[in-house]
Amino acid sequence: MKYDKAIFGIYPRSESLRVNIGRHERGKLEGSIREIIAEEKKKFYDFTRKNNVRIGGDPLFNWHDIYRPLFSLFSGLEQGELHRYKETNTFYRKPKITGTIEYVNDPLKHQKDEFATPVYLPSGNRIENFFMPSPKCFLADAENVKSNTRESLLSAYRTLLDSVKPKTTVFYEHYDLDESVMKDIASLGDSSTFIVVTPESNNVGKAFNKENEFKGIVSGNREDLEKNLLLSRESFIPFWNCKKTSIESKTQVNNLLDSIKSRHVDSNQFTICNTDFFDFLPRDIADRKVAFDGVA
Amino acid sequence: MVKLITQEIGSLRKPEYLSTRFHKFSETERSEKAGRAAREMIGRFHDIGIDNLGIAGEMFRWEMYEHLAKYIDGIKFYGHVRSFDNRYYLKGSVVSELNLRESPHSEEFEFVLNNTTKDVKVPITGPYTMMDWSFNDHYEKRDELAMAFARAINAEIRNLKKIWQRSGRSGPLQIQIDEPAGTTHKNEAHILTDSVNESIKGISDCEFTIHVCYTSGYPEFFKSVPDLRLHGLNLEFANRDSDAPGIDENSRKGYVFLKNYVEALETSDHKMFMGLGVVDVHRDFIEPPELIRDRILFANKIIEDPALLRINPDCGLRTRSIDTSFRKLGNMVAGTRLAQEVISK
Repeated sequence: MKYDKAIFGIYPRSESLRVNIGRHERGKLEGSIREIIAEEKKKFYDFTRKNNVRIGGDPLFNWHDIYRPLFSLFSGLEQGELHRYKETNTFYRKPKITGTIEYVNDPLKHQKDEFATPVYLPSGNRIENFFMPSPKCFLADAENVKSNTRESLLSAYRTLLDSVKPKTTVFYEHYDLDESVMKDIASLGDSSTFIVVTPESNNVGKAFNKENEFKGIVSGNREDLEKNLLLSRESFIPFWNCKKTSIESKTQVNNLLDSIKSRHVDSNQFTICNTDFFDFLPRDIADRKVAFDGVA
Repeated sequence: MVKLITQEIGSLRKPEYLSTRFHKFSETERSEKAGRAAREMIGRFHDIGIDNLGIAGEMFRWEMYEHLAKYIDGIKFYGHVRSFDNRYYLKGSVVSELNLRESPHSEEFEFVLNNTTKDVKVPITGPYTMMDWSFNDHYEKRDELAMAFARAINAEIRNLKKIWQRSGRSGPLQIQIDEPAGTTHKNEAHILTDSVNESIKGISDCEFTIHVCYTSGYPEFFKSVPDLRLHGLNLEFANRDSDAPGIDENSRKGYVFLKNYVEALETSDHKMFMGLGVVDVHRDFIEPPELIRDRILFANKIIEDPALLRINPDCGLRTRSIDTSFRKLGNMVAGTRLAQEVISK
């Protein structure tokens, strides 16, 4: 069966990039880390093109965790304590609210720090597939949240998106989706360009799509699939398991899409995707999963 | 008078002569360099006067997961995955039945025993964490995988006990089960308790502790504490505390949930001491002895029994430089002495 592929979130660094970033951080790198990252990204884009990835965007090789770039884009934030990311052996720095959150650095203009927000500019100056942590998980994981924090965060997000004008924006929410977060995200701009992804569940009622239509809503819970397809303009199908090293097969994808077509939606335009970051996998396994069907 | 015991928790940063070529050394070379580093750490532990030097900073181990996993049949390695920032670990994929092939800790344990007369404590990565940090491509359920790791760990503790008995040392062998992932699934407390208990099942004359850190799940963890057949809990607190002096709740906010521990003891049929994390391992800030004293005094105010207190850093100090680590540990010992003076009055 015919399908496209979408890759959301942080993609694993290669062994050599990992070593080079380590050297850079210790002040022992000969050469430019910017150029090294740019070269790694180029290889990644070549790889995704060859493997029929329609929505990929920046692999976020620069990101140490999902919140880190916001520290350089927004004021009113500091890096807080190290905190475990859910059930994994992965940690993130808690966003520590120190004042009113405001958008202060344009990621297109302020690229001096190689760990600033990365952007994918395949042609011209139009950013494709911009990636953002959802406001809900940001606020839930932040410390020192005040009564005005939510509003100032949403305002900063709006200004950022209005400034960079991405074609598509992916919002990653690592807690459940609910009416409140979907309304907050919809308020940030044109929701028909937004894809909302969660490894958890979608608890949004069906009535929601009367007000806002998203490009895609994807959750890791297969029971949400029918609801998600009804709420989305495009048919995103969670497929890759980023918590297992076994490689998915062509038979699996065909069976899955056949089943969806017969039970949920009669479409010939499916896009298989991940709901957790590929960054939870070794790079070699992530690459093999993306290339599982030998489309290249 | 009750003496407050100071203890190391886990790993220290390795000297460059060891770390830069750790995986490239031959086994003989690695043993020689690791031994040299361990001897240096032991010397520094002696200098600061710590009571229990753990396993001398884990110089024979690269990383807590990988070290144990490499000695277990049934695990395959595909590459590194991120822990945090640009720090990565080699994550194994469980592809068949697990079986401990040979002892991962015997060489290190024997070396340390032969080079110090101080108390030692062997950290072993726990079954729940090993399960949680592995890809599971073999066992149907997570609890089955955790119990398989528990049986491998049980076999390893029996290996270490033989060495301990041969050494002629008095007192129990001290084993610390490291479970940093132990509280990450709120609905899996039973898997943690069952697998930890299975790890130590049938082994006597040992002092078993558990180390948990960097979690928002302490309230849930303390509920399962009475079911753990252990002697002590070595936990992280300083990371969530303020740097302000004082022994009031406002200054010592990181230690308030010790009340949950006291409540847990009330429902337990056995006492478990509290290894109190008083040094934050993720900052270069050197906690002054007075701050450490206040943290201990506040904890003692809640626990009301200094015999139930041991003093340690939050976690292993490997993310800090060696000098910073020993300055922190030195102040930990000094701060403990200050607290001891107050408590003894």
